[in-house]
Amino acid sequence: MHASAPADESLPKSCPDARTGWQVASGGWSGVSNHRITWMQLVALLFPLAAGVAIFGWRAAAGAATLVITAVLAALVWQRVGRRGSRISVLGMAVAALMLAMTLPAHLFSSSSPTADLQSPWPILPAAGIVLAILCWLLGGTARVHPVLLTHLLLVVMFQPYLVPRQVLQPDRLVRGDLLRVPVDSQINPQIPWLSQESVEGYDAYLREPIARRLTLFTTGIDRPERGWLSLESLIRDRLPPIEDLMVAGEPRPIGTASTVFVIVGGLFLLYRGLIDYRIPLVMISAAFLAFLVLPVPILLNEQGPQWRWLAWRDSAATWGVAVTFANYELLASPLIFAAMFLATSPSIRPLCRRWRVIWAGTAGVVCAALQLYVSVEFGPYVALILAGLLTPLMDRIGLARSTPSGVGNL
Amino acid sequence: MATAAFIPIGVDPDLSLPESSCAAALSREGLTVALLIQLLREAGIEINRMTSPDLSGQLHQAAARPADVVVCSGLDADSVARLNANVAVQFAREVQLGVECVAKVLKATQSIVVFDSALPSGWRAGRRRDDSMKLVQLDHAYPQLHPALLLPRVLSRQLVPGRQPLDAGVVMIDAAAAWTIARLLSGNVSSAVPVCVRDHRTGRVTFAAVAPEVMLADLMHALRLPTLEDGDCAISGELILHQPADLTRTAGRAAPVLHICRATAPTTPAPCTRCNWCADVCPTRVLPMVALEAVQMGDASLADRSRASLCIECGLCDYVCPSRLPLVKATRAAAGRARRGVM
Repeated sequence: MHASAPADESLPKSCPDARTGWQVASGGWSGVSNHRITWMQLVALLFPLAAGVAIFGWRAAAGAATLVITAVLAALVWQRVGRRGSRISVLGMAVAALMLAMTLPAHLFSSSSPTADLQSPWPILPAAGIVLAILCWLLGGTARVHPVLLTHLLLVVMFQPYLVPRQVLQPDRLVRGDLLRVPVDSQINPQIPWLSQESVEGYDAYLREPIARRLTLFTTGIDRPERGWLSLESLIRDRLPPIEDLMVAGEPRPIGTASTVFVIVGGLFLLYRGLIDYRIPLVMISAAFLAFLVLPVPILLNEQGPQWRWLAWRDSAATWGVAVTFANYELLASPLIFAAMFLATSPSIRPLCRRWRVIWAGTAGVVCAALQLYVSVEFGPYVALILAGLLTPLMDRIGLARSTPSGVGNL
Repeated sequence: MATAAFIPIGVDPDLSLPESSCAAALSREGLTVALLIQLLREAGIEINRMTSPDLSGQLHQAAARPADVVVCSGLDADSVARLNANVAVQFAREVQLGVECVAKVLKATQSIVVFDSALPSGWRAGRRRDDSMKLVQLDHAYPQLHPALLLPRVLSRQLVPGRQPLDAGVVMIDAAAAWTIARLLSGNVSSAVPVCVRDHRTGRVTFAAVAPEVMLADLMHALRLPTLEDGDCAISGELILHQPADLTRTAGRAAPVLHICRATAPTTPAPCTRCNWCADVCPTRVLPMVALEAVQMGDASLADRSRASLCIECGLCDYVCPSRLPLVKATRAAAGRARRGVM
């Protein structure tokens, strides 16, 4: 007979992989510093940035550079202010500024106003950089509110009309084209894919109504259709561009979300490097997709107003094909995938416990879907992440409270 | 795995035991736990390391508490300084004898020898054919050799980290200890301990069979190793734990592996970024970053919730931390303070 310890799930069950174990035993340190992690995050951001510069031209690059340089200069100043200043790193600030630049449209780098009743928008960029540096100083390194999210939402509140992108370069004018050389009084046919659009001589870009705005007007019930009624099916069929324009390129959007493919590539790079937890983007996007099918949306707009339906319910007016296509459009038209890959995975806002991260990401996904449908497709994901970040301390406290030696405590 | 010869230092050149000595050791009159403890003490040998925790203590407690299994570990923490593996291959018969003697004095019903799957068949060729010892082959990686991780894997017996293997009914020794015990009990050969010196400056690894009373400084001189200069340091035991070696200590009382390396400059830790890598990599599910916060804030209940008492001090958290935080030290402090209920 032997004495044995009582069965306890908290006791060790596994060992690190051989490579880590032997390297540890040889002494030293892994060499992966915070500095190196920040560099890898910067590399990951270069993928969507490259797509943005290609599709929106040199103004995208110049705008991002303006914001980053301003933020870095502001960081150099704020580093000297108080004890909090020592927590600001220049490289970290550059990465945060680049992330913020990705959430903004490329046309901001211009001295001419987008419409007659607005001023020239270029001061927004340096102002955003300075505000970002101040918020980084205020919020510190591990605040539950991401400074990039907060800065973007401040900009939305103050300069919302300036932030609506309407231009996209012609396919034969990539990178070198000027986004503001557009034929103002004509718009292209949205039904034709961007890659198949004919070039307009004498101009570098097209004018297009952004799909995010179109979807927001419909799902909030604000839209007043010309013919007296507009169904969800006819919206998708007649009014929205092909989904490849969202997936590959061709839709007026913020710089970082110009091409969903490149956003995913950047996210996969972070996953490959082990810098992000795959559960968060996976669960968040999946939860949002399901929520789009479950939350009531208008399937018809007419004089009486919107008729709300739950898309997952079998209804002749909204078949499964329409429902899934609508959910795909909502996913791709918003910055949800970008936010899920690059912002939601930030250690400062996501919970510590792996189990609670799944719950947190699911909650964020559902809230994001609701905000996209009933508030705005353009900034709904950002607001959702801010709200979800406020739940993180509670989830950490509950997760830790359960991780006692006699308990299950599965971290 | 390439084996290296052991250089005799202060002992007979012929390190192998004759067959007659092996038989004599097993059939020795009055072979008891007390005799074994006495022999170890008289020879000036103290064995207390990860693969053979507090051997004298284990034997002493085993007299009152039954142990039905003897586990001999042929695993090593260092993939280069593979002392136990080399002893197991070159002195298979002696290691087997040592394990059998320990099993006999404890009246254990089962003996298990654990070795790395890379160990060559020399072990199988060297041992006697008539034994009932069970051989277990593992794909080993540090810190699998810790008793808290090894026993569940080999015996399916749980062991709470920080407790002795005897709590699971097991006495755990390593191949080096088994070899030492075999020589002690055979009677007509000098006692010796196997030692490995890994000189990181030159890349040289030296194995030696040393008389227990030889000082480490004398050992280094006998092995013709370059003397320690300014900026060099000697580490005893597992390199990751950075325990400075006392070169005035005798080989019988020191850790069997000695590392000579360049000292690294102290680093200033950065603030914790909540990356959670330390918790992800911990094999016993300790929360090192929580333990660090508990120590900094003087919170005993937080120290308890960090599960610091389960820490086996393998050093994986220190290795992966991008902020270079002293997590092993913090966890050790949190474990001690949580036990006392004060901070």
